[in-house]
Amino acid sequence: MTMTDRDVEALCSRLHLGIGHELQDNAVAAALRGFLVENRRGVVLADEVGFGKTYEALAVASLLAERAREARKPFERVLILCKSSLLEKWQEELSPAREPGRGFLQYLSGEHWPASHPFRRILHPIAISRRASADDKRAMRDGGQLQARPGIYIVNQEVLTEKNRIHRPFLKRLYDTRWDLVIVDEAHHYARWTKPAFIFAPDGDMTNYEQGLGRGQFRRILALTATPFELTPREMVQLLALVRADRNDLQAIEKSLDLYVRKLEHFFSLRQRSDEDPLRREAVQHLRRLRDEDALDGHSPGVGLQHLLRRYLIRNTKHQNERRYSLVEKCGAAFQQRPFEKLADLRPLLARSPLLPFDGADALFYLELRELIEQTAEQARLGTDARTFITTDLRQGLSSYPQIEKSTLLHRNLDSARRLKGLVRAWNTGKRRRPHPKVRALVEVVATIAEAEVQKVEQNPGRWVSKVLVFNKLIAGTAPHLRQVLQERLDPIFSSFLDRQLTQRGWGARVDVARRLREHIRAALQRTKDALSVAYPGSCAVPVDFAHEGFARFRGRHLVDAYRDTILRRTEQALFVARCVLSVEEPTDSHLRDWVGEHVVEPVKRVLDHVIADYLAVHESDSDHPYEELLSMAERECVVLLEEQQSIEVVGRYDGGNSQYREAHRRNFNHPFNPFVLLVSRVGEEGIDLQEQCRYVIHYDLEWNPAKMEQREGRVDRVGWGRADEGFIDVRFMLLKGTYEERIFHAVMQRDQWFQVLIGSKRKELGQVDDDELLLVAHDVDEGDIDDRDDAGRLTDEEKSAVMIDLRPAASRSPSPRRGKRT
Amino acid sequence: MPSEKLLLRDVIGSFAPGQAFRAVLLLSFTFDGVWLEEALIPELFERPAHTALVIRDRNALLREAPSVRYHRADAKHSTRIFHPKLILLVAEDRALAIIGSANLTRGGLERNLEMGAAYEISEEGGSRSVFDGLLEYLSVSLAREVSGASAAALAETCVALREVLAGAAKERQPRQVFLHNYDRYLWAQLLEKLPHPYVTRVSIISPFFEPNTEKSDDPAFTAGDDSIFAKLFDDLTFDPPSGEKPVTVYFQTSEGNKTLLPVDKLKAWRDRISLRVRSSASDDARPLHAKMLVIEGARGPRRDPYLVSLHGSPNFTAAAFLSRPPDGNAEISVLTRLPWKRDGHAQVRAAMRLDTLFVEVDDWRLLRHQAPAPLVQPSPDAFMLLDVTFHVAERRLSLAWKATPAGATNALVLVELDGSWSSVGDAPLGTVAKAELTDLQQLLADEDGVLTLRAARVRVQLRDKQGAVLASAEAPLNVDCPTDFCGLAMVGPVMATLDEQIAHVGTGTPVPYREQLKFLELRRAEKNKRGNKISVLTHQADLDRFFRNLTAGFRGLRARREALPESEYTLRRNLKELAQWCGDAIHADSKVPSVECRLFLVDRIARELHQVLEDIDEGSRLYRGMPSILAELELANTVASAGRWARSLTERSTASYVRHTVQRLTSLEKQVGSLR
Repeated sequence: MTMTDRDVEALCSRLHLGIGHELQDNAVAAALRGFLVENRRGVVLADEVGFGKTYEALAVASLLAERAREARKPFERVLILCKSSLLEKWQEELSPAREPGRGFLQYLSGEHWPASHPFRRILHPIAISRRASADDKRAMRDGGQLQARPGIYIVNQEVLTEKNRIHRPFLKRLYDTRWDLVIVDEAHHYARWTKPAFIFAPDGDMTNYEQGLGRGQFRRILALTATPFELTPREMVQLLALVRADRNDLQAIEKSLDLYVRKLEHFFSLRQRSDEDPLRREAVQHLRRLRDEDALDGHSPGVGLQHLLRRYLIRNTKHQNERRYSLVEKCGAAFQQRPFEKLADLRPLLARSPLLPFDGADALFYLELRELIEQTAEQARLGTDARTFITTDLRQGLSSYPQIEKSTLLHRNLDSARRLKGLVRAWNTGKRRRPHPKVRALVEVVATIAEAEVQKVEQNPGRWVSKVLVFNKLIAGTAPHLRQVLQERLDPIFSSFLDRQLTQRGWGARVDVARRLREHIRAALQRTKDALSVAYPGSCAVPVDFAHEGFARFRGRHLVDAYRDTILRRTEQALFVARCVLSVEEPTDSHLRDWVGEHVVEPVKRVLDHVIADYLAVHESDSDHPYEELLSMAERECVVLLEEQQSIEVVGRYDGGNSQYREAHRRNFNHPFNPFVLLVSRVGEEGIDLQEQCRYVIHYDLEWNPAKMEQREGRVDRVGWGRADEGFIDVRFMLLKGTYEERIFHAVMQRDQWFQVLIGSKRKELGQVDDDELLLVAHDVDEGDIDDRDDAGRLTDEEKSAVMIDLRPAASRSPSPRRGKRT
Repeated sequence: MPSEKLLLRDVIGSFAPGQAFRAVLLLSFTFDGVWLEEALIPELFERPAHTALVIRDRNALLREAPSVRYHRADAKHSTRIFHPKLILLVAEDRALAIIGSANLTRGGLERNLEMGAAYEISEEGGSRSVFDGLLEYLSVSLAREVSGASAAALAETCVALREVLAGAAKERQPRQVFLHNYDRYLWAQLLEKLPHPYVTRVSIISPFFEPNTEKSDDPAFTAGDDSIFAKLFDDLTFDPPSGEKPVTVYFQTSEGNKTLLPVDKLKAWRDRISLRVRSSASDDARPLHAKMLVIEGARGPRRDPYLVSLHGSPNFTAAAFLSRPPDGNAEISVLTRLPWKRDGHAQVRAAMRLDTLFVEVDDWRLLRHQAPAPLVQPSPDAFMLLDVTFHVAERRLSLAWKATPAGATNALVLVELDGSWSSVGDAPLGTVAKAELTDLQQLLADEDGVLTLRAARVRVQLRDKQGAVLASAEAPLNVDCPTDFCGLAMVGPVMATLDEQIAHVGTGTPVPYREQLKFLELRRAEKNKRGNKISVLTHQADLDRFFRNLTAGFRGLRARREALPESEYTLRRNLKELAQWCGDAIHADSKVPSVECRLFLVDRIARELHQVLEDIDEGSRLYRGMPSILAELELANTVASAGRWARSLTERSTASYVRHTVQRLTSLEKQVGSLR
């Protein structure tokens, strides 16, 4: 039975994602309207990064189950397809929370969600990773065929290959099951024809809906992605085919997208003209027509592209955090920022900007490197060598000199390789050290930020330093080097900051304060140890089964002992001590004791208490879980705690070269102490949260794919950004003048502009148009004294509102999308 | 059949589309450089033209060209009349020669009634015999007319043409023969080529018969020209159809029926000569400048009839047919055997519209012979400038001449500025007939950053100690890098940086001449509008583009070498270009972003040069030719100066790199030495 909007509203009222998450609720309602009112088989939840699409998807699933319960229909099997690294995240969300206010289950409370609710009954997620063992028992016969047992299956998309299915009957069963709901996470991978796409379209044709998973017979599908397309807008068509869009719609969308992109390019080519220019105005009007009235330019009157897309795509865009972009450029010996807007014509700006000059001896290096790569590519062409990763090699050269010195490229038997090696060796070692221009720039830029942050705290002791995130795709060789030079530059800044604070407040010498802090920490830990021993006699020792090497020395000893040294080491950090100095009114023992107790030891105590109480002190017979499972849950949390308590230096790393400690570095980056800077490689571009203490994002290099750049910035710009009170996220690009990077930048920005216009990524622009007050403001600005030169190439607010496509879900109570806009 | 109407621009435009001109050679008696610059040069240089040379008569210069884009040389061997008219275009796999009567003047190419024929050759076929003769003429005979840079340009033209001919199809039955008169009189060669001396009819088309001073663009010669008519009747036996005069002379008159035709002398053959004068009433009012001879052989016992034509530069004069260089005229022509038919001769006349363009002269008495003033010819042994070349990179003017008068101590170089001759420098004379000048402020102008020559012609006065002028001569001023110039402005490096130029050469897409002209025009207009100095293009400091340009350029050169491994022309060009860039790169004001970029470029060129030389098979034809090529290009000098430049670099952070480059250049120097 088809439902009405009102029915959906009533349904949605049974599950709210909490105050402050109304936008997510809107998305959930919009998806349900799509499924239940408009009878669509699939919907794409395409919220911007960091919105909580996971929660939205689970809410949709829960409410579909609730709806099925009402209608007395079954809703028993949910398949979640994701990449391996996200298995755990999904599992965690669906497991009982470690801390209050976390996990999805918190929302399934109250009268509508009794324990007997059919959805709660299937809420024991089964994760299928590469290592999952075959288990035929989990299959059952249902509806005349062998299917997976009811439940929520979180499946690594890589394992559902045809080859695996042949060898592992359980996987075949999963594949053949008729799912009530399929959730595809990071669905853009399917739109770009990576391997998992064949799960749905074994014949390579995504528009053939009668094949693949469950022979295409699954009931509903929900695709999640922050980037409905990455390289070309056409990927969106593929994505819509994945969610089984109506074929006529699909065709119309394909054509009208092409048309829109072409017209958009035309409009962009006119950006340097005055915004009064008739051609420019005409282009804008044309786009507006295509968007709102007639997607196919005369062939689809009444239906604009935006309307077509909104049938399947729901996209919340952020509005609370502003990002400001700038290019780092060298000005004399110093570095300054040149702000830019992403939708503006960036070519003239880039041409004018000195960026980071790559001149002098460095230019010679660059040319010879290009030559070497050219020769290597030539060899590859001739078949004497297979290596052709030109951009990778170039990136190494644009990253740092130690990085390129480690590259295998330099060990080739080519004249250019030998000469480069000669140059680079001389610059990396010996008396005539010569840092890479980018390294030099980064160190200065970060130092300037550090000084500004210190000053900010000095002026307002209630605040704390905002941290810096540096993204560099290939960092293995550069990271240690960057770490060293950054550390050398930053340590004195924070040390003198601390010294000033100590002097001003009459705390005495730093060593003495550190010593006193250590004493208090030792005492507090001892108290914790005693208390735990009393509360859980015999259960406080580190189990011998803990495999993590961090516990190797402590097996059989008290759990608290495993954390003592690392916590004590924190007293060597200037930021740690400074934090204490700024937080504590007077340097008395009682004050120090309280601070240590509350801020240092208490979090440890809380976690250990929970671990012992819930896992280690639990007898197997009292628990639903077998002993091994309890132990492994205990160890996981103890390891996380160990990572959180790790003392890091002022510069941290999150990359493949530091895989052992990178989690510790990441977790501490979200805490107030060290590291102040986190160097992140491509490993950390997706999926991790770094938003709590950070405000500066530096793109040390570029990704070809604007979606990935967006993902990078999304590490910080996400729900719960900890520095929201500081206004905006400061995003800086470091480009070497005249090199390959300039070309990449142009390519990325062009794609990014499509991205922004077509799927409305820039919330600020979207929000403004309907607001009369803001229109007035814009009007005022237009009449003000505008520097023509700087304004050339930019889009006016009016133009933005005319060409950008808005896919935001309407607020629950008012189906009209336009009234749902936020200010 | 040389009757087709030719539109020169069409011929040039449709020849070898898409290919560069490896060589352009123009020969002319009179020369109007100013007109040429406007009318033909933009067309010619619309595509890359590597070598361009004009050779003309030093005494028949109407206006010097305001351009150094192509080499101009005054014929030095033919001191009397240098009279050939030729347009030769050599592309990669084909060549085009236009041999006719037209000089490089407005009259020749626009206003006169001219006649010429275009011959093309390629692997598909063509007039092989004409080109074989032409090549022999260029490499042996014409080579005597030039020296210095012009001789090098001519040699390059020969190499290019030789390569086209090497790949060209053979001719089964040659119908044409190329003739020139450097070794033997044309008349003798003509008689020799006729199957027999019995002729039915002869048509003579000629604008000149006698000295003519009114017409400045054609030869003047001394009296005695009647002898060619005498030779005609002496050497040929006429057997005309009854009642017909065997010889028809097509000529023209000027106002008042004055004519150069020696009417009085012709009266002796009045019964055998029919005169037809250029009709003033014809619809085509152009003055006659075409030259042609059509001879129809008579049928008889053991002899077949025939029909031949001779066209080209020779007028029907003794100077053309009965003299030879250096004291007589220099001429070229093509003898064509036409298929004989009963009315063949009439068909030729009809095709050339001779019957409508000319009318019969009934009454010879109305014609009045007009004898011109005798020609003043400088003595063949007089002081003569052979070569004046400006070496741009070094800002150096080198002069070469012959016949230094006794007592001369210094050479004063002058150029014509604002209507008067001003000195640009003074060089003391040594023992050789050469001089060099370096301080050339007067010769050069800097038009907002564009180096511009103030003249394309110099006068050199040899003076004695007291300053008295002992001898004076003029000569065209050439530059060592003509392809960088548009007119007199060195626009190449301004419009394109060195790396861009390298890319252009490599990919074969230099900036067309018209674009250059437009650029200069725009700059002038801008300057006038704003009244302030316009900044010249500086390097865009785009390292990556710099590299890509170099790579594209070198790859282009290499591709050409690989495609044509046996080609001497390609090898020469490769070496020449590399040497040129090497010289440009080390030069301080070359448009290269930084010393490091220059260092890289020099190093890169050295690698390329090494590879070029390395690839030549020992014992091959090319290998044997290397000594002369290397000497001609002065490669050893270029490499040596690059080495000196590299050694002068002292930046410590690049010391290891510089050391390698120096080593590379040293070993390259040795390599060049061993090949020499």
